[in-house]
Formats: sequence, structure tokens, C-alpha cells
Amino acid sequence: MDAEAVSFDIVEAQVWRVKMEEEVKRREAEAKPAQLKHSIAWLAVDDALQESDLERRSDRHHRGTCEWVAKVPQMTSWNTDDFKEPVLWLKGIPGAGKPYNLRTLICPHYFRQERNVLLYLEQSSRSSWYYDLLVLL
Amino acid sequence: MAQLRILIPEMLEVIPCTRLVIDGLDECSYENQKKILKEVQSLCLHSGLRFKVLFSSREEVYIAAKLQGKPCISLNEKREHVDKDIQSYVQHAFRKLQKKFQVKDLDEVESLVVEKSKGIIIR
Repeated sequence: MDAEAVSFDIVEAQVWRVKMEEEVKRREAEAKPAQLKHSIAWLAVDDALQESDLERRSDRHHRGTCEWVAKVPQMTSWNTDDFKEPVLWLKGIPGAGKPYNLRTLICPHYFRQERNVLLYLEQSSRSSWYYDLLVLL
Repeated sequence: MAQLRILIPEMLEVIPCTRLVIDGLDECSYENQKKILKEVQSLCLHSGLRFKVLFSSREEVYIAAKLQGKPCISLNEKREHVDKDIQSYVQHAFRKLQKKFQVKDLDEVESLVVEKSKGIIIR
């Protein structure tokens, strides 16, 4: 009778454990959208400002210029969502100043596509980093 | 930097296929260049994170050493495209000047500007 009771306890504990694991998974899945929402709220980004900032960056290039960049194989590969090489280096002429403003070079082509979050890091003129966070949902 | 070190990996875990754009890396101090490249390297080594990072910089020695072997687009090697872009912009700017100052023939000056620019655009 004792052995029977023990086995019954073990089975019950196992069932309970599986139930708890499922419950935890369910709660985590439910919490993720809320977490994302809270993170974005914490970042305190203003949609209207973001959109106009994006317009401004996208339109700074002279019409017809910079379009060749989208067709370079390294760029099309970089713009593919895969697990392949994540890094791409766009290099200018050594010691001669940046030939292109990167924002105007790639903004028109890439920032218009559906992307969740854009984090743009750029050195400010005062030698401290600032970052622009564009949140496009 | 400390905030970004914590924030970015967490964001990348939640939001897949993010693009990071790091512009003007050569304009940072040497110390910051080292830090940033190191941070990005550890992100890249983090398996399971799906993201892409684009660096833009001049071809400085330290950066070139760290990014050696990575896919790159060298604007120096794309001179025909860069020159066309310069020409397009110069033409546009000169048309405006022509209109404003009633000048007739600027074609020769335009060609000279594009040629002398040597692929460098500074506005």
C-alpha cells in the first residue's frame, strides 16, 4: 500500500511539474508583447517626430544619386534576413573626409522598408556619442 | 556605452532581423573605436542573435585591421558610380547658379569640378 501511495505521489508531482512548465511558457509568451510595449514606452520616442526625422534623412540625398548602392551584391546580402555574416563595412577614401553621408546613402532604400527598430549610432560634433532611436512599428 | 551594452543584446533577442548602423567610426577616439568594435564582435559571437551591422568609416589602420576579411564596399573602387553622383549633384547646383546669375556656359567648369573632386564629396 505504501509503494502504491509513493508511485501515485510521483506521478502526481510529474503531472504538476509539466503543468507548471506549460503555465510558465504561456505567461512568458503573453508577457513578451507587453515587455516590448513597455520598453518602447520607456524609450519615450515620439512617433510624429520619428516620421519627420526619417523623411528629413531620406530626402537629403540629391534625386538619382546613391541608388547604385542598393544593387551592390554585398549590400543586398547584408539586407537579407539570415544568419550569415552580419558585418558590412562601407569604407571611404583614407584621410580625405567621409565621401558620403551614410544616412543619405542608405536611408532612401532601407529605412523605408518594414523594420521594427532602428538604432542609429553616430558621433556627435562634441565628441560624445549620441544615438537616434527610430522606432518604426 | 554601458547602457548600450545591456540594451542592445536584449533588444536583439526580442526583435529579430534588426539592423545596426554605426556611422563615422573613424571620427571616434581610438579608445571608443576599440570599445565599439569589441562590443559588436561579442554580439556577433552570441549565437542565436539575428541582426546585421553596417560600419561606415574611412580606411583607418586600426579599423581596417579589425574588419579585415569582412564584406566591404570600398567607395574608392566604385569611382564610376561616385563620379556620376558627383556629376549629377554638380549639374543640379550649377543649373541653380546659372539661373540665379544669368551665366551662359558652365559645362567646362562643371567637368573641371567633377574631375578635381577625385571622388570626394564635401558639402
